[in-house]
Parts: sequence; structure tokens; C-alpha cells
Amino acid sequence: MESHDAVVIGSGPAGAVAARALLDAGAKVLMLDVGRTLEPERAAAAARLAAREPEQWAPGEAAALAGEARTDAKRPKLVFGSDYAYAGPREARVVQDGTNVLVSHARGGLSTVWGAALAPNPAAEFDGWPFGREALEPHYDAVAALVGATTQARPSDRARRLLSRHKESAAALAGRGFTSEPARLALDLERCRNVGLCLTGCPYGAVWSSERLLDSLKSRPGFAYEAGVRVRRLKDGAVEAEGRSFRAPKVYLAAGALASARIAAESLGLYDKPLPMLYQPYFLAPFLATGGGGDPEAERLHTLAQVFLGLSDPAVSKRRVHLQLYTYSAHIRTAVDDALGPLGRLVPGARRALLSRLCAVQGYLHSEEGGTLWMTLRAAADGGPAEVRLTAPPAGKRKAAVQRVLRALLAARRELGGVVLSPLARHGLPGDGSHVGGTFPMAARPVGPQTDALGRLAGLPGVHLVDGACLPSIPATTFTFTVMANARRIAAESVR
Amino acid sequence: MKPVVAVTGAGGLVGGEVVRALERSGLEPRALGRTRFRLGEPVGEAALAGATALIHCAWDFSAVGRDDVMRVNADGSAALFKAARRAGVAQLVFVSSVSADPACASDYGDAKRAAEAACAAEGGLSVRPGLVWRFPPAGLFGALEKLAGALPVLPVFDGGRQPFFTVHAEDLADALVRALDWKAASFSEPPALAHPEPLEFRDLLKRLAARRGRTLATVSVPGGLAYAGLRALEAVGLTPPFRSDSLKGLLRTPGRIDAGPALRGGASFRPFLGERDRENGIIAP
Repeated sequence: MESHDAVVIGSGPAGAVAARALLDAGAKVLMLDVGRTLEPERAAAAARLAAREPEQWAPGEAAALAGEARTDAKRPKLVFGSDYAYAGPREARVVQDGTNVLVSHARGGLSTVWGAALAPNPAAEFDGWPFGREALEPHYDAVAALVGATTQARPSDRARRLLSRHKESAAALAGRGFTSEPARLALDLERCRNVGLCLTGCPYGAVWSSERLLDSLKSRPGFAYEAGVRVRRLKDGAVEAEGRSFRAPKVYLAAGALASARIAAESLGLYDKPLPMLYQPYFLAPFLATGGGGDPEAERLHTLAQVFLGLSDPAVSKRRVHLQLYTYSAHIRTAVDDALGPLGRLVPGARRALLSRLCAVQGYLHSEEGGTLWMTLRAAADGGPAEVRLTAPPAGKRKAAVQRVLRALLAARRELGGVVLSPLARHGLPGDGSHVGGTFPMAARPVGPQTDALGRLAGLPGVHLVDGACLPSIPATTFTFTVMANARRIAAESVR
Repeated sequence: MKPVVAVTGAGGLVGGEVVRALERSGLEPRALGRTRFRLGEPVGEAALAGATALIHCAWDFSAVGRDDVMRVNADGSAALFKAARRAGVAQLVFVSSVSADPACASDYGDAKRAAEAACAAEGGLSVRPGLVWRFPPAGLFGALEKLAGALPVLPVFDGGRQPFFTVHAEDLADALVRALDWKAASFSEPPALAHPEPLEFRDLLKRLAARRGRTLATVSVPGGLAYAGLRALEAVGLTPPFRSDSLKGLLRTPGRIDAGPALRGGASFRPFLGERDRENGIIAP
């Protein structure tokens, strides 16, 4: 049997980045993954699109593959019409009580449905962490280079108007605690054809997912990838999966915040004990821009976040709030057409005016504003992974915090160049937005369920938690970027 | 020399358990039972001199009426925190209650909340335990256990579906010792110390009865009516076995608590009458 220096569990952003760092350090790496992939017929249809320039696509060909652009909390984004990225509750063995923590068994994990937004945590938000921003800085830089971070994606017509409005009123915006900047995205501009399919699956693969990194690792000597493996626990130095077992001196847990926490907790025998989990309070609200604009249906654009807004106002939150403005996309078109019904065809001018103005603002708040949800493990009778029960904390705190943010947005409507439609805001459940973790938080002097600065638990020698499960807090800025930078830091330092 | 931790209410259920937990973790407890400290009375200098920390568990349940409860317990606790600071005690931990949630609106909860504010003013940390249980039963839990074992039919209020949050006395004591290392500033509100799974009042009583091999029938009594009855008894100077204020606290409990901050701080909570109790023979297998 081939021997490995390290086993990495999971192929999401944390696992792929950790594996890459380990390989760079000369380690032999085995990655274990459930590794579900897109249905072959959909993959083939996407490949047919990718082989041609958009001008050569048949009318409606891409739209037919994308399917209906509607948001659904259980499956917030589909990839080429498929929900393969999300494991169902039975399959994931998760029971949710007022929560919506998603689990992925996909190759690439939830990065297959990622918004590709990249913003590092501000230095002030590292309090309570066993290290500061400076310790992550080189890793943020390396990850940014790895995923091709750019602020040069072509903004939509509406985004250009909004950004110029924000520039004009920069001083007034700053007075209200807001910052505005073009979105920084993990978007490959060489591949991007601005066909507006970012949220439903990019045929050209321009939106970064860790599948792309995984593909590049496969050609490296010292890397092995095994799909179809669902890890249950770590026992006596071995990784136990259904009917199989793997061994390596070091194990890196990167199965996703919930799955990694479950594996660690089951390895420690923490059944029937409440374990904490942090989440970012999240909301999605319509935002109606003021002023005219072109016809977005005729425009070539990308449909990821266009503008990053930051809000630092102690009266709203002690922590920075991160907001992302999305302009026209198929989802917005569906929302407008659903709202207008047959009227839309009767008054095409009004429909177009609405399509050009309607944006969406996605808001993320620091985990401190949300309270803690908790999970308990129940051992499975069939010898498989334990069942996890998730329960939401009291809702009052997060709802009040979101309301304060919505009020601040409304108060800044002139400077922001649009009105947030607060009554139509969708308040996320704990877990919505998929930014969760912190069950085994890193601490300078770990006690109880805390991990050390390299994500290690006292009861599990040689095991590092490298994904969201080890974060001491979840600041509002883009979660995945920090998870990747931290995974790289732990992997690199653990083999030094 | 071991750091000295003063513990008020050391003769009580929680205080006694805290004294043992401190010993287990290599600290030196200074037990302040009622002979050495009484809430609402001046604090003797010797009680606090040389202590590095104070865990304030004492509460006077004999006080009746809002003014009395406030004066003895809230003002008494405030005076204790001030005296502790004067004596150079660095860390203050106050044992409040999940009933201090403003939603509860009982005199008990209000007094606990007032004492929390006094503790915060002195830079101390308050924590909110749920219903404390252990075997052999003691305290309020002991009274409930006795009722569940004795009465043929147990009255519950408004259907008895009020959620209760329970904490085993040992888990609570361990958490309180851990709390000595927690920083008050890192909590936006006093952390709850209880298993976060709510247990309906009715269910709690039934489980207690089942442990004694009984099947308990409960009869629902309208809470408002019972409250009015108890108030009437108190108004004519009688002391009913169950105070109107306790009933008020019982009828309005928070539906969910956030145990996360305590769990993240290393606390651990076992479920009410859980597996371990089965193993230990506390409940029938």
C-alpha cells in the first residue's frame, strides 16, 4: 500500500488549498472525498456551450441548461439546473430546528456554488483570535493569486452608475459609516465572456471553484485523490470510513464546517452533548436604484456581486457589516416577471425600467450579532456517521441587528443612489449564506473544545481542523477567503 | 500559595458544589455560608480579605414582596460587589438565572437583573444558570421532585408546556470555575449556563415521576386564575407553598437560550436524566 504523509478530508476550498500547501512543502498527500459530480448529461451540455463562443450558441440553449432562476433556501443556487452540490437532509444526516446549515458532498464542496467574493477580515476583527491579521496576510496574498483575484471585472451599466454615484458622495457616505468599492472577485477574466450566467453555472468555468485547483493538483506527483469515501471518525490514528480505513501521520479535516465538526466530535465521543456553532446573520433585500439606465437584457455582463459596501457604525453593530450589491441577473428577471405577471407584456417599458433599476443587496453580519446555534450528535445505529441535530438560538438578536442595517441603508439612500426595500427583505435562518463554523475555535491557551492556533484538539493528536470549524469568530467579510487563507496557514506551518 | 476564591451561599446547592469543584481544580475555596455572610447585611472584612476571586451564589428566597426582594437581594449583592472590589478581589462572578431574561418579568428575575447590572458596574461577569438538578435532589429541583413523587395528580399551568432549561449541579459548578477565566467584555450579555434543549415543565415532572416508578397524571390549571388565587392568599397574609412570583416566573420563561458562549468557553452540559444517569442507576435502565 502506498504511504502518505498527510490525509486531507474534503475537496472544498479549505481542503484544496491545504493540499496544495502540503504538496508545495514536499508532502505526499491523499485526499479523501465523497466527491459527487455534476450529472454527465448536464456536464456534456455545458461542455458543448464551452466549446463555442456565445455568438455561436443556439437561441435559448444556455437558458434551457440553466433552468429556472429562482432562489430556494434549501438549494440557493443550482449549477446548470442541478442541485448536486447540496446533500439532502437524510443523506447528510442532519435534522434542522430553525436552522439551515447546508452540507455538500460535491467535488469542490460548496465552492461549486460560490459567489467568488474576496475581502480579507479587517485587522480589528481578529480580537479573540490567537493571531492577528499579519499572520494571515501572506496567506491572503497567496490565495488571492491562486484564485485570480480581480477588481477589473467589467461592471454592469447599473453598477457603473452606482459606483460613480458613490464616488461623488464618498464624503457623505463615509459620514454615515459606509465604504463602497468595486467587487473583488475570484473571476478568470480570460475565460469570462460576460454572458450573465455566473449564478446558474458558467460554461467557461470562469468563476473559481476548488474543483479547478483540484484538477491542477491531480497532475502533481505525490498527490492522490480518492472519491466515494465518506469519513465517519478518526480512531487510534486511523481515518475510518464506511468499511475502509486510511492511515497517515497527519490528518487535515476540511469536510466543511458542519461535517468536520461532526467527525471531530464523533472521534472524541461527544454524543448527546450540545456543541456550539457560529453563523453570520444574513439577509437578502431588493434595492431599487434611482435614475435611468440601459436595457440590461441586451447587455453583456457578469452576474456576481458588482459592488462591495462596508458599514462601520457602532450604533448599528460593534462590528463591520459586509454588503454586496448585485445588479441585473436571471434571478432578478424572474423576480420582476413573477411580480408583474401578465402585466409585464402589456407595459414593456415599465418592465424594462424595473429590470434596469432593481438590484439585490446581500448582507452579512458578524457572528457576534447572531448568537450561537448548537448541535448534538446521536450515534447512528447502522455504524455510519452520527446524526446531527441543529437548533437555532433565540432570533431576536439577529433580527434586531439586521433591522438596524436595513435602517442605515435606507437612511443613506441618497448617497447610495437607491432605496432598500426593507419590508421585502428576506431574513436568513441561522446557516443561510453558508458561513458557519467555530465549533472547535482556535485559542492561544485552548480549554475544553477549543483548538490550538494550528486547529489541533487535545484529544486528537496529529489532526488539524482547517476549515470553518476552527474559526474563533466569523467576521462579516467574505468567509471563504479567510477560511482558505487560514487553511493554507495551518497546512504550511504544520509541516515546517 | 493557591489562589483563594470566596464563595457565598456555600451552604446551598450551587455554592456547595462550587466549593468542591474549586478543590478539584486546585484552587482554595473560602466557603462563606450564612454564618459568615448574609445578603442584605454588612460584609465582614475578613470574609473577602486576600481573596483573588468571588463567586456569588447566595440568594435569599425568604424575602417576599418586590421591595423586600430588591432590597435584600439586589442591593445586598451590589453592596457585596463593592466590598469585594474594596478588598482587592480581582474577579467577580455572579450566579444570576435564565429568569433574568426581561421576558420573564418576575420580581426574582428583575432582582437578578439588577444585581447583574451592579456586578457589571464593578467589572464583574454574570452568568445565567437554568434549573439546577442533581441526585439526591435539593433546592427548587428537590421541591419539584418531591411533588412529582407525592401528589396523585399534579397541577400544571396553562397546559404545562413552558420550556425549562436544566443544568446539572456538577456541570454548573465546573462552568463557574471556568468562568473565572472568562472576560466579561467578551460577552454581549450574561452567558446562559444550561443544556440548551428546552424541556417542557410537564415533561420534566413526568420524567421525575417515572424515575420513581410512577405514572403522573397532570391537570392543567389556567395560569392567570392560579396567579390571582396566590396573590389573594398573600394579600391576607398567608404564605402559600408556591409563591405568586415564582408562578409568574414559571409562566413566562424564555423559549430559547444561547448556551453557545459558555460551550465555547469550555463548559459542558449533560442532558436532563441522560445516559450517564442510567449507567449510574439514577434512572431505571
